[in-house]
Amino acid sequence: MSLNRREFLKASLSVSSGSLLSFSVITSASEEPGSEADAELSPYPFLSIDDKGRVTYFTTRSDLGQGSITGICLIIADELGVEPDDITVDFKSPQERHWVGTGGSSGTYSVYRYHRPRIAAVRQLLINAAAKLWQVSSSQCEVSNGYVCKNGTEEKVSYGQLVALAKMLELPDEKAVEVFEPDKFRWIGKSRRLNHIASIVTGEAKYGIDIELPEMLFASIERCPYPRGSIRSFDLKAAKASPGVVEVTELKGSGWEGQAQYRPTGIAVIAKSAWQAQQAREKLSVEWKCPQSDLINDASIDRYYSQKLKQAGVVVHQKGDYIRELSLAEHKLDAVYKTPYWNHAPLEPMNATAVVNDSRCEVWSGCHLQTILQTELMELLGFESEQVIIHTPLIGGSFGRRLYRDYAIEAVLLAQKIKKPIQVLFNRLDESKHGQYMPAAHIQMTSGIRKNEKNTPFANSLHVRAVQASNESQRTPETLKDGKDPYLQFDPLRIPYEFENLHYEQCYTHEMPVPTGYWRGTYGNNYCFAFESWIDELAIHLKQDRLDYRLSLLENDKELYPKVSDDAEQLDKKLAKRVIKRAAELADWRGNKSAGQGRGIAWCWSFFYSYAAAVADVSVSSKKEITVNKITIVIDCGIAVNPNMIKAQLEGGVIWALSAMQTQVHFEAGKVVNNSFADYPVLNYSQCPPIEVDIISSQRPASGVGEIGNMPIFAAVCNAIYDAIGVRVRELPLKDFRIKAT
Amino acid sequence: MGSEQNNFQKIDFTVNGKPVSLMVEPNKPLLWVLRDELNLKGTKYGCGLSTCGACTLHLDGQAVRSCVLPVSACQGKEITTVEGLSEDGEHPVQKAWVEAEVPQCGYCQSGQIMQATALLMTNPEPDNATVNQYMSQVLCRCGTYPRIKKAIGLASELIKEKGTSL
Repeated sequence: MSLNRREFLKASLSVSSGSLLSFSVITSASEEPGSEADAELSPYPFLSIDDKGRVTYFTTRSDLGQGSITGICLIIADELGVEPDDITVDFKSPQERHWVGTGGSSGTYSVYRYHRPRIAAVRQLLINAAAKLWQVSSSQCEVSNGYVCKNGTEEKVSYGQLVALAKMLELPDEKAVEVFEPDKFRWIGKSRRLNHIASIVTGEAKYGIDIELPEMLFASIERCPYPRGSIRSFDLKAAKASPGVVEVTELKGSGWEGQAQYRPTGIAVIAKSAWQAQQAREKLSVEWKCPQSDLINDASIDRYYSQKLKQAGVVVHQKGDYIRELSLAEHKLDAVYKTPYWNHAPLEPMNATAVVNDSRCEVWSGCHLQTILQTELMELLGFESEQVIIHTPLIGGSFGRRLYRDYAIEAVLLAQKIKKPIQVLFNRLDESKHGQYMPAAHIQMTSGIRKNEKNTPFANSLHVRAVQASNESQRTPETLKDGKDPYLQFDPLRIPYEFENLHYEQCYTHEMPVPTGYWRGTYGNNYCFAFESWIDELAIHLKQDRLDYRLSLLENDKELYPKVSDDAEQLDKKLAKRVIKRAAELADWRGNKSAGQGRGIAWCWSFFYSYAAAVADVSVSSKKEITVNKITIVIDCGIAVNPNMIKAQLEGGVIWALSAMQTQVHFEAGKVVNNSFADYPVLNYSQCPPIEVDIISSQRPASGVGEIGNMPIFAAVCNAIYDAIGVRVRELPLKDFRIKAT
Repeated sequence: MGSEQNNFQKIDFTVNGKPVSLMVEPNKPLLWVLRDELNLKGTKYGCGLSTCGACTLHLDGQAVRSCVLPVSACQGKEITTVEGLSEDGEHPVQKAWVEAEVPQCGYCQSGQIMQATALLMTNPEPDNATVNQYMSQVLCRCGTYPRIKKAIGLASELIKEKGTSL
């Protein structure tokens, strides 16, 4: 690996698809045919077939609960011509040609779209080997259940028997090989249970927290609560004297400025058990310093964002003449939509186990950007890639949090210092106070209302000013290109409403000392909330049906925006309209409603090429208690690889959004206030509404699923509240309303 | 550094049907005793504050949060963890969980299963309000609640078919 870290990150983190890492680009660039071991055929690092015919998939993707590895096995089974049960799933540490990482809802669809031709090339290689064996043309052979069969005869030869011969032949060019058409799929499209479901229900499943190594020690770390803060004073005596304690040591953080991966300074208490370390840590006495300017609280954050909204931002898109159009308007409508900082709060707290010596480093963690973690550790330790071994046990939830590497780097630094295996384990307070939070946003929407020749009012302009910061530009403003944030600028462009005059601006909140990061759907959540609420407001103002008005703004089939990158799939408004209409139909959009009952609709198109529309049906009591009667959600994700798991992801997304609607991260005197689920209340069982999921079947290549279920829910629910009682909610979480048990 | 043997105490209890006798710190939570001393890692640490329910297990048949339960309170008691529900994953609740395809990340599921089992042991056909009240004590961030609901219904059916209580 000759690139330095900055160059590597630049090369790896494609910004072309906007919101999240473009894994498809990375994998197609980095995985080329390579060498293999003697007894096996492994022209690509992610796949091997041994001389017994055993197929192994070395996962490049991680299962964080989305079931993607199970889905990927269906894709491999179909394209290779084997049974899913014949595929063993294994994990190997990243290598130069074996990029390992998961994000951007790309796990399954990237394999469907970009790896399938490679699997097909391996299939063709086996066919070519059999053809050579039989001295016939390859076109006379086809595959079936791990065998190549000679057409029109009973003759067949197993993949295992072909391995030795296939290794001597040239791998066909993946571009010259045809993948199977969907009508040939045996496994894709049929629901299959999670591969490892039995190990979960019996308690045998091993997560990062369950890793055990000989002589392992445990660290609990008291971290600086202020990102730009430092240690004022400390007294470690009592902690050092606490039972089981082996060492108490300062752990320097990354610093704040210029650090894409922020990691606070802390005092690590290392003991023989996790519980002893936690107990001893409570006896620490540490005082932290915070710059006066960073003593933020909820009100000061709101003021800062409000002031930013008054400043002109950088223009990320414009069309027509918004200023002139507004001057012609009879009146102007505007509103500001606010979303808070949210935490990921997965159930498995951040943890990592590391062993480091002079020539080797091994890490076990739930981090699912394994290649990036490896690269950072190579730089940190001065090691080559083969000296840094990354292991990935099962992952107890991420939702974006485990894209970050803070806990793993802490474990490595401590293991290096103590020269023993170390497990760093966050407690729930750490989890609450040291997150990489979903960035807060204020989004102002403005439209001018005019009357046409028939005296009918209409809106022909939209001005959007959004105040927000991406994780990248927040601490490394040099990533801005022409002043624009490449990680944020495309998000509003995925919302294709037809106004003649558009003006989209962004104001970046670099100064805010709050660590931020990707969060299930990230900016798609804020933008969908603001746009879909605003379209509702306009429809109501114009006295039009909210569904019909939406559809009328999507009539025109011409592209509103240029492609964000060459390989990006463009929005198809016909597909958008189809999910919207289907959701309305399933939710009985025009059906009778009782007093206090309302329906709201919203939809989105995501950076991973899926479409979703949701209808919320709610009842609101006079005490402002919300009963969510039902959420209906419809997705078009192209070929539905594993339908029941797609359904699970959408149910999860709906619940994710409803959780967020009742909670937020609070700040006081520069620190996060929240401690646990007691003051960061997520949705519980009793609050969960009935959720109907519908998957529109399609022959379009598979697209992403994991982050779309949540995006339209915020606006759908707020639009339903308005429909029910005429109160417009423009700020999340819901302040006066409470989601009741169903 | 810290002392080795700080007020260790002998505790006897039964775990998954087997008698266990341990010298442990009496204030150490049962969760950590199971994980550290008995290598029973199916019971999960989620919050350590009794706010999430990931550590739920049975103490004399009752669902309890083992992360805040000092091991000293378990003297002479019977403890069942997810590993002790069945030999082979064939407990009706486990079977229902597989049938309804409940787990996503799976981390909270041993807590969910133990909570649901405790409920069904005393009330094999619980009404909606009872299930709501009971299951709301165990959180899931992946959003598996609709399938937990389905699985509890299935488990209830399986128990009825079997004709015995749990």
